[in-house]
Amino acid sequence: MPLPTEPIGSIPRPLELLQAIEARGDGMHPALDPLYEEATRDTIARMEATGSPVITDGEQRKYHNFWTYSVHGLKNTSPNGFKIPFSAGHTRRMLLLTAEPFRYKRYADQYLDVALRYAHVPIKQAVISPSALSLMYPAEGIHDYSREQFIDDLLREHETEVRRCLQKGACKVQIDFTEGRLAMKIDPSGNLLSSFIDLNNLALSRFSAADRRHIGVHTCPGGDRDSTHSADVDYAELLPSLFELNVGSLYIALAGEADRRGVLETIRRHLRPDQTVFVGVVAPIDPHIETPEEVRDRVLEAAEYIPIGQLGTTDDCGFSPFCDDRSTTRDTAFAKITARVLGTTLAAEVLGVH
Amino acid sequence: MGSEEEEEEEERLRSAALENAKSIHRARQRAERELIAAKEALELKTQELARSLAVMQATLESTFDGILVTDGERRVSGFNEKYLRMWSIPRELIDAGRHERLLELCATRLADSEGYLSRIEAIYATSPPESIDVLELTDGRVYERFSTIEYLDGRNIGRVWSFRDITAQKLVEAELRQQREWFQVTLASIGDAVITTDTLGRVTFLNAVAEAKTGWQSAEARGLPLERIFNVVSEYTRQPAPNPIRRVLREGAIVELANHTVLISKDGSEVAVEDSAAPIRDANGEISGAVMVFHDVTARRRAEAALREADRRKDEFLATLAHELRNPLAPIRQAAFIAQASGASDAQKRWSHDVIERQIQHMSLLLDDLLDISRVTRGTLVLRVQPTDLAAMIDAAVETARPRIDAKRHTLKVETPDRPIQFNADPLRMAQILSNLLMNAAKYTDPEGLIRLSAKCEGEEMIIRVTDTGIGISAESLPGIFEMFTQVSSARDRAEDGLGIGLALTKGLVELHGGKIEASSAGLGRGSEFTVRLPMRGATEPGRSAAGAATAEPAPVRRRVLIADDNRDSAETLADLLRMEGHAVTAVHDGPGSLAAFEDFRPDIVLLDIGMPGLDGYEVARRMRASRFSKDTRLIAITGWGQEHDRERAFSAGFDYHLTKPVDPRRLSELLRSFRY
Repeated sequence: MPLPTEPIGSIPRPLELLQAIEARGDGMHPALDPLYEEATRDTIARMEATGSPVITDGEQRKYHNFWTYSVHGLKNTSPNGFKIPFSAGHTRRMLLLTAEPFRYKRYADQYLDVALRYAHVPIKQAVISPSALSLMYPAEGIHDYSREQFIDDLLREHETEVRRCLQKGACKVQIDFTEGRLAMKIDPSGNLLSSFIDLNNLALSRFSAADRRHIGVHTCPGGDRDSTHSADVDYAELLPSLFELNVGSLYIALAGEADRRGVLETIRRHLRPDQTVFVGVVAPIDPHIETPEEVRDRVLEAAEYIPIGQLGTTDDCGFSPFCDDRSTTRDTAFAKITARVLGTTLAAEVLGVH
Repeated sequence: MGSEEEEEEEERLRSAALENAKSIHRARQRAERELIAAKEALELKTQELARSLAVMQATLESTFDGILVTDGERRVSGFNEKYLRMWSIPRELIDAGRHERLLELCATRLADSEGYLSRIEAIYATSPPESIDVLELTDGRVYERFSTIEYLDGRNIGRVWSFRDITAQKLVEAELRQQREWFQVTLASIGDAVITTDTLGRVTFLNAVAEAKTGWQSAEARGLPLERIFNVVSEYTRQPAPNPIRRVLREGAIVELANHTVLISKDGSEVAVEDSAAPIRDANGEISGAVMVFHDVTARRRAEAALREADRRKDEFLATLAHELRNPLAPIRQAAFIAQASGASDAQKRWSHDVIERQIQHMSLLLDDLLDISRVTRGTLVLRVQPTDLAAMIDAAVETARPRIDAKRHTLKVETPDRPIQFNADPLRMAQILSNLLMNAAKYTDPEGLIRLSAKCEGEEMIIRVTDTGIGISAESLPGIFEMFTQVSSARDRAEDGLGIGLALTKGLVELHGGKIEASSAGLGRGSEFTVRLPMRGATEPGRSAAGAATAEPAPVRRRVLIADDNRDSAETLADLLRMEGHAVTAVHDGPGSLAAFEDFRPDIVLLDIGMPGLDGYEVARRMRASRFSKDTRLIAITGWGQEHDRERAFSAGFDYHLTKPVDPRRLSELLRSFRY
């Protein structure tokens, strides 16, 4: 593929799986394994059918969502962590750490064990950022477990997860940093965002330059039930800090932005020579299925600002970051992915990239 | 949830987030500090690594060898400048980093390019732990190439190739080989026996001569103690002689074995030896072994014994000579006394004259023999070879020996060929040979014995035999019968004269003629036989005219003769003799006087002594020859100096003849009569 193109990660689960989860009331029940396995197999097959040179497993097994999968079920947590309000009016609540120590319950490389059985093309794995999980530590603190200790444990667990995914064979590890724009909402001074950037860079500093070329960061204003949590925050407040992350790839939602050219201009100003920016050319929360031509045009528009050698395309976000999101169908998701792939190809032909 | 609760919740979230931010900030600061420390440590490590690399490179550059390192893909991963210089490799070629290209260039410098490249491929293919090869370059240099696998953490990561210039070493090896070969050839060629040992006295080498003398082969003797193969005993006591090697190894000095030692070889045979031994030292001067050289002295000891015997015979001869010379002096003195006596009768005076004449003749013969044997042994006697009549030669010899034969009343029988025989020989010397044999026969045969002389031609040889019925010769005396100073011991009781040089002189004269003489005897008391064989060179039958001319009586001749001799008696007696023959004679006694007399007297013949005061005879002769009166004058030197060079000097000075004292009056008369004017 002359112009790189990659998915973000999540694909809507099959209805049968969702119904089974609802019936069980526990998405981690072993009886659901066959359904998870089938969902993963089907997702990979349909993903490869889109022609995408890089695929994901659709995060079929991530429960409950892209943010809490690694800590879901920890005994030293409570469900009343901080809330994330979405523009649709609903909220999603994170977990709260109640006692030491902080450890992952599971690492994302276990999803690769299943996916690699079915994949025929390179597969990437999305993991949650340490900055997102840092919000699990309570404001009042934990007795005999300082915030510093928590940060150290958090960084170590994140590093472990990323290394395991790379060693398992993931062609890319994508760190989901959707809380970046949210941080500006929480703290308009930018200090929180800066701390998020620092925390994520502290984690990234534990990897070699060669490893970091296989690590990327995804940011978006959130996507759940066709709504966002921080689209009202100006990208310009996030993007300069975003490019301070020491990663080789940045996956930036763009298709749903009102001022795409403004965003592209900001990107152009802050993009580093060693970074590739994958711009979102399809919007998962938009029910309209983009045509390849529409995608082509969006790519060509981006190419006006971003050097061809540093340009790639992606989806604005996952199609179902929260497993119970049924706002988008699997067919729609794969259709949009197909359009992305074809549109990127068309753009490459126009740009003369071979 | 109400907005107040939401606000509280948001505030808690914000508070938590900001607290997190502080922690994160502190964590970042800590991380930055750690990063700085890590960076500093890294820099230090980098410096150490750079230094290690520099040291490693310096080590590579310091090594004596040229070094090339290749990886598993045959790429160059390391090298030193020595390698480039050894092979004259341009910088751009080594920078290209491919071993194949280097090999192509190196192959062009080698005598066997194909073999070199094949060997490299074999090494790459089989990857032996080590390889070693000798490479011969076309310019004469020789390299030794060593390669070994390069391991890192137990993994084969490539190969290290090292090259060493061993040209000088090869030259030294060749020279050592040559020296070893020369040494072996020398040891094999020298006439002495050589044995070497190690520091414990065990044999390490025998040369061929040592093998022959000891009876041991070098290979079987190697490692054995020297005493085992070099068994020497004292010649006199037969006790073992000390081992010289032991002393050499102990003292580090050259040692010579005691004299008179005998080596007993492996088969028991014995040989007289003399030897010496010396230490062998290495380059540091330490003794690394010993060498002994010995040689067979049997022949030398025999020669020494022979010299001692010859010396003894010489002493005996000198004593005899003194005796033989003194003998005639007594009768001469007595006869002279009688002749001078106032009451001596004419008969007594004539008797005295005869006695003196005889004794002088005897002494003259003795001295002639001495001079002759001296010339023969020194090779200065020259034969006057001419056609010689066999019969006349025999007659002359018989005439000379007749008095001795007749004195003992022996019977002499002469048997010669019917026809006359002439052959090339010196007639006087041949007569001397035969007269010596006849006189010996007479001397060693009891009175009234039989002496037989026979002569005959056999093929190309003239064979003359003289046999007698005398005392014979024992078998042990026969081998030395012709040696100087030999007198048959069994005849010592005979009151006979002689110096014992007659047969030696006879043998020398025969051999000068190219002939041989042999002696034989049936034993003591059974007579002797001497056989002379001569080559018949130019033998012919003489013409009749020569015989006729030889029998004519000479007519009386009267000459004017000048005698110059500072010995007045000699001059006056000679003058009286010549006057008695009718010559007119003047005698002077010095050189100037002889010149004056020559001018006044104008003689036909001058008889000049050589040793005269004022002017010697040579100078007188030269001046006389320069005179206008000397055209037909015969100058005759009469002197006691009778060597060949004396004769040549006389002739060079202008003399016509050279006679040695005492002059035979008859011979002088014949000579004077032979002159024609």
